[in-house]
Amino acid sequence: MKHMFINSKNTSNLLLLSLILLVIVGFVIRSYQIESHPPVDNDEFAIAYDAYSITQTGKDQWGVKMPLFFKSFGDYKNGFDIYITALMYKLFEPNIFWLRFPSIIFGTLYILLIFLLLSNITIDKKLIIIGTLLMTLSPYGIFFSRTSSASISQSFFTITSILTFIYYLKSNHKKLIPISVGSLLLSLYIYPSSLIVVPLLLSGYIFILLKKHEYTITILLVVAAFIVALPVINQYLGGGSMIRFQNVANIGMKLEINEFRHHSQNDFVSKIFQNKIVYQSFYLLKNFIYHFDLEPLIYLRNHVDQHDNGFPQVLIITFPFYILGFIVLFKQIKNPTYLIIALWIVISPLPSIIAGSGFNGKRSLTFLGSDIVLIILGLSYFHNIFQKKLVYFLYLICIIINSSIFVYWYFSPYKLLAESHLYFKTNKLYQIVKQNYSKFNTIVYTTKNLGEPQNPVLFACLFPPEKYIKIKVAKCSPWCRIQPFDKFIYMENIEDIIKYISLNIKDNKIIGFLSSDEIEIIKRKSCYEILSTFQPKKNYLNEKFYLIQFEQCI
Amino acid sequence: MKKNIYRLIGALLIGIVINFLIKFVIFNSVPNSVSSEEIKNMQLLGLKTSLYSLSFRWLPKLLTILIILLSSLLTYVKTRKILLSIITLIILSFSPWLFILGQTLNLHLFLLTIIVLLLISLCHKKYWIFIISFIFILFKQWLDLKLPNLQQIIDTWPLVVRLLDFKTLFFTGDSASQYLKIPKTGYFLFFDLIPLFVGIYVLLKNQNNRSLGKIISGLFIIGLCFLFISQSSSLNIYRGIIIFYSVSLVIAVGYEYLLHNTSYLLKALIALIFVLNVFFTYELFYYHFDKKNSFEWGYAETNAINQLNQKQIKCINITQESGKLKQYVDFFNNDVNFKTNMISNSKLDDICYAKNNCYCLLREQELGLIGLQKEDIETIFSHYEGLPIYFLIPKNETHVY
Repeated sequence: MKHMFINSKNTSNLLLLSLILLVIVGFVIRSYQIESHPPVDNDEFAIAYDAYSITQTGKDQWGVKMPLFFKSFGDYKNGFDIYITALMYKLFEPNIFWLRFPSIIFGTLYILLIFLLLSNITIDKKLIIIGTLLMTLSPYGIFFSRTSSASISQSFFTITSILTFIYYLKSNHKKLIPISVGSLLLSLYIYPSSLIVVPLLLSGYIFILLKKHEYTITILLVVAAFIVALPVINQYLGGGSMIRFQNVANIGMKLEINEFRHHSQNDFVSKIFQNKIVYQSFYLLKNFIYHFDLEPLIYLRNHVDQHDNGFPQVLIITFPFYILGFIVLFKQIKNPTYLIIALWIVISPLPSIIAGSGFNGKRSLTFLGSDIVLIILGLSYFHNIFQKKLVYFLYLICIIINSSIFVYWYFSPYKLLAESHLYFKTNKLYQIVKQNYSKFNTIVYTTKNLGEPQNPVLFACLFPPEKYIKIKVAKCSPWCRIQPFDKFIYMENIEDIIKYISLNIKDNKIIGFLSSDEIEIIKRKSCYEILSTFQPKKNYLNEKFYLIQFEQCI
Repeated sequence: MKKNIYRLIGALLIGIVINFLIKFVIFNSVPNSVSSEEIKNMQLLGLKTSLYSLSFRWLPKLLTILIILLSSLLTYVKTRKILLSIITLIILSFSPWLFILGQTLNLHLFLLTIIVLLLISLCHKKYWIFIISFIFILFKQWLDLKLPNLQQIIDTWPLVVRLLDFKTLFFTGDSASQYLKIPKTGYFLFFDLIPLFVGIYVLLKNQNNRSLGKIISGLFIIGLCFLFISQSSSLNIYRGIIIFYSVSLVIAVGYEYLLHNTSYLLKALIALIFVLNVFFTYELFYYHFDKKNSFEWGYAETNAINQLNQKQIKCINITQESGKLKQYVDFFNNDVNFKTNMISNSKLDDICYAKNNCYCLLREQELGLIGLQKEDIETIFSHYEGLPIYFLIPKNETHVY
């Protein structure tokens, strides 16, 4: 059994040494400055507080005991990552580092997975090292290993399943099938993308198993899959998780169809071509192709959001081999191993495109590693050239230089951009509450300015979950809004806050986190002292925020 | 051999008939108005036309047909494959980028025609690339070509990536301008994507297509050079014209391979999807092109001139804001029965309400200057999609300050 996991031909000391070195490098890059970069988003704060709540009470923040799906904002998050984080919090302490630690581990283990996968595709040690290096320094691998977004863990278990299935195909060892399918089914409880990935990949497995005349095991597999998937199906059909799909539906499409039908006075031809099925197919196809397009693959986009760091997915130095990899894959498609890889590549973008987005790295993260497999397949075409040590080392150096550009970009210009544009106010509020919760009686801010970030403030002061469950007043339709609670007073407008303060101010222990516009309004009506000011380092919008302490006017 | 030549001639004749039908009958009046760029090109070529005629577009249509026929001939000469030759004919006839270029008067079609002509006559010579590159010098003035500096080269690379993006090529087309863009269509039909991949694969793998492959790769490199030397203000469809031509040839190779190496059922399926894709695209062009892109065209201007003639108005006052209308009035002066005066914004009140026969034709933003709102105006000249552009100020308006 041991021998199956590492091809004996490839197990040389050099290879193992390289692997260990790369795993260490991968871990260091993935964990460096993890508490501050990237900024923590609202979903991560929600995971953190739910995990904390589980460790303290065994219930989520809504008082449900050990749920499989966490209600959170009303979006019913899959529970796996929350429980893993809860375990971290039980063993260590509840903070951002341990919140993100599971992602770092999954991201680092991913390097090992790709190493093993490549060992099954090529016997060339040099190419395996190149591939493992590419995974270690993969822009998307690093990006998604540094946030607690569940997509990296879902992706990890999906690739584990693919790898184990490939091992089964090579060894014919039937014990591997339950491991492969189990790993795949586990991903159903991790991230919603798996709802699309799992049935399709499973169909691929079944197809191959039937071709190998494995009827009994196929039937057992289908039954087991159905039983395991039942709670997930139930959750999506009747448990409220459907909100995720409603949220991402393509609303503009209907307007477009109506406009085009109006142009042609709704005639017969327009009814054939201008309808929902045609348009949906058009957008699905367009978004699918876009995942393999030049722009996301090799073009540095001036784009920053929590799902995309804008850096190209494939290093430019490897791009020609990525393309060539498709041809090599296509040529060997009849081989079941390559068929599974092809299926993996085709299925990965589907969650993203079905959700209506052009390219969403988080939703389509299952692709992570498939690009490297393609590159290695492409490189294997030039196997002989890379046997020359000089060529090999030159190429290795080129990859390291190209990757270093990403690492520099990620920790320098991008860090600056992310700090300034992603959840700047939420993270500042988190710090303010963390430092001042015990010192003050009331903390005020407007929802116009900050939204309703109850999770950052709850996690900042580690608000007792039992108490929160009792005092919380919420309105859900279907997204949940929490009414002001404990020391946290947040209202839509600054005027309402002023009114509240004038009625309730009895001491000087009220602080507020307000924008410069709000300060302008408050200037005329209240007395206060500015404790500190905050502004984004890349301040394109010229924003400024203040932490103020309210005082009684003399 | 002889049989093949007869077949080829037959195919070319059928191709001519179909292209004439499509370009001169079915889509003869789409786009339904003259664009200001076409007016500039007509001035440059010394063409004169009537406001009521789109006959000046015969020239680009004929050039397009010539390009299609020559390309079909070229693929036959280089590969001796009759099927590939016929497919080239079909692909170029229905390729959105060439079709739309053929529907409007533009100077880039002249360049492409000469390139294809040179290819036919010089493709056996090794130096054809240099000759074609030399042609750029002849077109330097017409197409505003310039050697780029280092900064311009660096700046143009993102455009190359965007232009060769599958999304741009097959689904969206030019995102910077609506002028020559069929709604919801790229430069190619979206089903062409599969034959493109197959075509690249065949050209790389198959020895028989080497000579055609060399021409296509040469054209692609020339196309890239052309993209770099053309001005950034130029439309992407113009800048990428040679690249698109080479890509079309790759697509034709892909289709030929697919049709040659698949079962009858698959052949029928490919043909069906292609036909549906053509219908989908050309329905969009026929019904929606003028309406979706009407701002880029001159429907409002030609309509305004036409109606002012019918109303027997002798004189109109316009401001700088109506510069586009002035361009149309000047060019179609033989069909214009009224006189135009350019006036300044500051004197609108005095001029528009003066007791004479000269009417004011104003833009929406100018109505406020004389205390009117667009709801007060009866005679409005709009874009084809209905957006009001010019407002004819009535003389009998009771004007209260």
